[in-house]
Amino acid sequence: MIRIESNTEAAFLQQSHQERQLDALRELYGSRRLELQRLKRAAAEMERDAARRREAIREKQREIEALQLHVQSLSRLLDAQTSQVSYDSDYRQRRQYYTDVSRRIDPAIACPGAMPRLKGSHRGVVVAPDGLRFQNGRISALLKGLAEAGFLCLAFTDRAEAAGRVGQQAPDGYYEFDDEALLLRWLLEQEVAPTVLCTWVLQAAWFDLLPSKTIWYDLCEHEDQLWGMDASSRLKHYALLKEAGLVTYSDKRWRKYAAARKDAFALETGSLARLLPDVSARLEVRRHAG
Amino acid sequence: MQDNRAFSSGPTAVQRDAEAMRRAVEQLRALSEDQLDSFEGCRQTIADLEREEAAGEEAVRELREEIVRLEGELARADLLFAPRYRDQSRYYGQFVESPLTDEARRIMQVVQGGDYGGIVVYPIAVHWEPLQRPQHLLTELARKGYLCFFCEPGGQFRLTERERGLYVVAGQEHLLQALQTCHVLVLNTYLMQNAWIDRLPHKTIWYDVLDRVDFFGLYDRNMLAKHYEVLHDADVVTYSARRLAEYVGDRPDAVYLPNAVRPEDFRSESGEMSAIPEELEPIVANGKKIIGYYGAIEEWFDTELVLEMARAPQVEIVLIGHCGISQEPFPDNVHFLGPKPYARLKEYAARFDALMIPFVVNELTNSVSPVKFFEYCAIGKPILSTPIAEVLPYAGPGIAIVRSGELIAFDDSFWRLAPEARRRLRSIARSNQWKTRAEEVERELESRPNCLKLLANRSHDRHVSVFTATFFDYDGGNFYTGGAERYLVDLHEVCDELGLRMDLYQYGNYAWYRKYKNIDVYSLGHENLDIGEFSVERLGAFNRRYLYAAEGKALLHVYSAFFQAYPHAAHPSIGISHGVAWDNRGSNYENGEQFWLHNERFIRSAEHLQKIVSVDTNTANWFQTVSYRTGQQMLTIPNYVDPNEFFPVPRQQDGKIRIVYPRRLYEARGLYLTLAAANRILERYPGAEFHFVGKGFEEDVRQIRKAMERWPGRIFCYHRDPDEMHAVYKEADIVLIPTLYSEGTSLSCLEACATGNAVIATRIGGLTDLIIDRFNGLLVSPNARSLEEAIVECLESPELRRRLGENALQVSQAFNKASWKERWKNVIRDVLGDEELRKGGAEQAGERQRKEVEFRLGPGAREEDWLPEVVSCLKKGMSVFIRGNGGRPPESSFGRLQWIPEEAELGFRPLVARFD
Repeated sequence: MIRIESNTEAAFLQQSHQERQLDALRELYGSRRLELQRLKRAAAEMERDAARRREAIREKQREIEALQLHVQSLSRLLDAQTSQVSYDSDYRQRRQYYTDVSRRIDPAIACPGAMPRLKGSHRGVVVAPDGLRFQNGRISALLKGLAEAGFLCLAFTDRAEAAGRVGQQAPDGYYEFDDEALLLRWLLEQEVAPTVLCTWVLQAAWFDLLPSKTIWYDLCEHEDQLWGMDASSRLKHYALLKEAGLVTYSDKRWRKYAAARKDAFALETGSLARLLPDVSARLEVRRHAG
Repeated sequence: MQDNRAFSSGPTAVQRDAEAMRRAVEQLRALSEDQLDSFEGCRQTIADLEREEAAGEEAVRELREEIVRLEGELARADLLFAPRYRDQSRYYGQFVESPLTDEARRIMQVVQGGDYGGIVVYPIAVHWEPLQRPQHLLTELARKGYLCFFCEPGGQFRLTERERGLYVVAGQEHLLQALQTCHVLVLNTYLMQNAWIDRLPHKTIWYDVLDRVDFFGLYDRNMLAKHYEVLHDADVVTYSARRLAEYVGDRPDAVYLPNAVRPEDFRSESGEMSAIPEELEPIVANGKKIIGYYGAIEEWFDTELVLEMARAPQVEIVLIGHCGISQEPFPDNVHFLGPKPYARLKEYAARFDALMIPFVVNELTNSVSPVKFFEYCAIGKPILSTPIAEVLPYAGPGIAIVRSGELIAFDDSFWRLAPEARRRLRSIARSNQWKTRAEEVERELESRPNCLKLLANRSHDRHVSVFTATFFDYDGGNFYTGGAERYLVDLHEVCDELGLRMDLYQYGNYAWYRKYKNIDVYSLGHENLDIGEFSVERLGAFNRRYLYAAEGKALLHVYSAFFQAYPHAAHPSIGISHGVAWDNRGSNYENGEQFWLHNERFIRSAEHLQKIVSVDTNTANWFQTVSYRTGQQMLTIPNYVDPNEFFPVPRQQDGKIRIVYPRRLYEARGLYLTLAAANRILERYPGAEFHFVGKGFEEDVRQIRKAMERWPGRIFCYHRDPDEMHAVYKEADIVLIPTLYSEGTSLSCLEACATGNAVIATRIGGLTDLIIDRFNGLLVSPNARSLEEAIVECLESPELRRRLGENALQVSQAFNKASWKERWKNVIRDVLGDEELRKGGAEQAGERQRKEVEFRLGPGAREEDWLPEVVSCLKKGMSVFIRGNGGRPPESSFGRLQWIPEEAELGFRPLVARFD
């Protein structure tokens, strides 16, 4: 049996105590390390979360920028609208003007003597109101042709335009006018139901004031010129297609605009002489049909 | 002892370890504290980020509200639809003018590879799921043999084949490119689709009005105007609900086509009930009766009615579909399951005891034919519906009409469907099937002559494809008999001998198709692209059209002339120079910029073609002065003459000397030099005659007629087809080739040589490759005086004429047609390689025999007789040419369906079907 001496025993006890302390410290170290790792993991997760959120914010920012751009573009559209004259307001103003001015006209001025003489032999009255200045010469060529065929034809011409054509021969029955209000008054006074050659939707501001008429809708330009992007103007076009007694187009390119009318036909400027007899016959049929 | 000393003299190892451990623990503690600090920082950061996110959400919400407000204002000002439409239209316009994308090529492979009746497209409006009317109609049309494309929103290009012939495409701009030369039936249900549709050159529009126009997003009066435009323009108009008739009043031919069902989609394969969908399990487990609904849950959903139903005991309500309304008012027994795939709806429906259509009754819902109604009928369970217009007529056994505020009796008799009620529901489903609807639409299409183009797409076998300016005239009428056209006819022979088929594409005023002998000739024009003016833009547009028509489809691309390849070329490619065509009176340049503007097209196109064959050395030499490399790469294969057709014969000894001008009758070919010389020659030599043999424009011919009046019986003007020209040369004594500009190695010159004539040619273009002055002809300066002197010399000296003629015959043997063909075959072999050549030959051998049939419609022809025959021929892959009464204008032609003028001559012999 081994005998342990007392100082050895004390040392042994001390060592044992120290070892237990060391173990405790190790345990503490271990738990602290675990805690640190847990904290690190949690921090890393928070970092990731923060990164995700930052990305989401960036994404949201991009969305915001896109939406802001969209808002700006919509606002610009609205702003631009204010600088444009709409069909509706233009129509209202013109209509009001024709109404007011024609009412003020001295009946003596619009009396039969001061205006073209309407004869019983006339096959009808055809009027071309003020319109856009395209298709140079088409409208007067149409009306001159019809005048030769026995119609009383009235074509709007502004003074400057008329001055440039001094000395030109016009057939009997073909007249030019530069005062639409006066003509309106005369037509109303005489209770004439004319055929209105319409080449532009805004002309409706004038001829809508005629209670009785036949519309001859002649399509002779690109839609951008005729009605553009104005909804009222476009819808007026479709209304005119329905309302018109006769629909023609000057070029096969414009046939599509008359798709609603299966009876629409080509009236090419180069072939007017050949086609006008057919047009005059149709106009006369329309007139008799009321 | 040592240990004891150690105890007493210093720390033990354990103590040292403990100390170290203490320090380590301390460090960890410090680290943890730091970590905690940063943790707190992180927490703070996240809190800040959360606030930032919330602020972002709020900003988005506010911006969206602002957009809604602005859109409202814009709608009131009619500025909602048109600007968006214009932007999209511009985008698609730019896209079709851009080079062909790889994605478009992928689609083109699908189009080329298919054996289909026609192509149908539904442009972007909705996603594929949930399946609605357009998806069902396309599915049925695909099953009937059409190639169908359903376009889905989404940035990334995708092309998915859902079933045979039915593709879902994301990235419809690529589809637009791929279909530029196909005729397409477009199903149009949403007016914004037209921004895409407008850019399709060949289309049949089927306008299907399936909702009130004012119900659609972006509605304003411009959209309404667009509706009228499309309504009037569409080839076929259908509408899904009777109340929608107000929108189609302008079209008396509009067809009422209500929604329908595919009953098999709601029957289980085995007849056994499938497993309960997981989300439904707890609801089923309640053991209560389940009333189901699927479809969108939006503002038209009758919340009050559903709440009343939910109050009934023993009832669970299951709602499937996207929910755009607040779910708050609904109690716990109303379950919102969200959208489910169409294919799985039957699994849910199998567990329902009844089905409902709880729509608020208003203008909108009265104008709707609910697809689900017919699907509910196919499911065969009791149906509850509010009295919306399209369901009301079906009220009766199995279909109960319910209204909010009225007591609903959920008694046993309601849940138990009587056999006759079940039969009734099934019968409704049977008589309202998508299959039948598609048949109705097909019948409509086939009964309208303007819709037949849909069946007239051509198959694209891998041929040699030639792009040329003219072969026929721009309306597909007259065949031009010039040298370049004859060259192509002979090139066709070369291809034929190699076992390859050759097609021609050319400028044209509309989409005509003609044949010349066995060559298919296609115009690249269409309704909105004619060749009315020769502007840079127009030529560029035709160049692009050629790429759309042939790139990736043809075995080989031949550009005749080579500068047709400007600005872009398809490969593999060969360009042909028929001579320098740009040496005319316009060739006067004050500076380099002018030179470049005039010649860029020639120089650039030559640079990017893989090979150029020139008929003369002049072209290569010209190029060598501006691009040494291009000049070096050119291969000269001079023109040719067939000695079996062109050979000398003894001339008539009638005392006459026939001087022949065998050319197109116009200035460039020296017409006016000849006319100027003719007067003096005819005065001086009574035996001389001038023969102008060719075609010309009216004014040029008029000048000849004037000369003929002055010299009756001495000047003649007539035309001969190419295969009759040999007789003209065989009767001639002197042949004039008095070109002013734009000349290669003239076929006329070679033919004159081969027939032993005395040839007088100017020194222009490639004529110097053919004529050695005073050996086999006289080479003169391009003016009337030189020409006249040369003619006089020949007239004065029969010996000179004889010698020149003999030598000309000798020289012509160097231009034998057989060797020309061999040289061309070598070029084609070289460009294609043996493998491609073999494949091309094999494909031609395997091609189905194509046939052409001409329908001649007499005064008594009835549409109901001939139209089905035309449809049948088109479906068999035949080409149909129709002339006569009841036909349509030629401009309506497309592909294998050609409406031809009464007086048109066909350059081939089709089968003829007469309808008198």
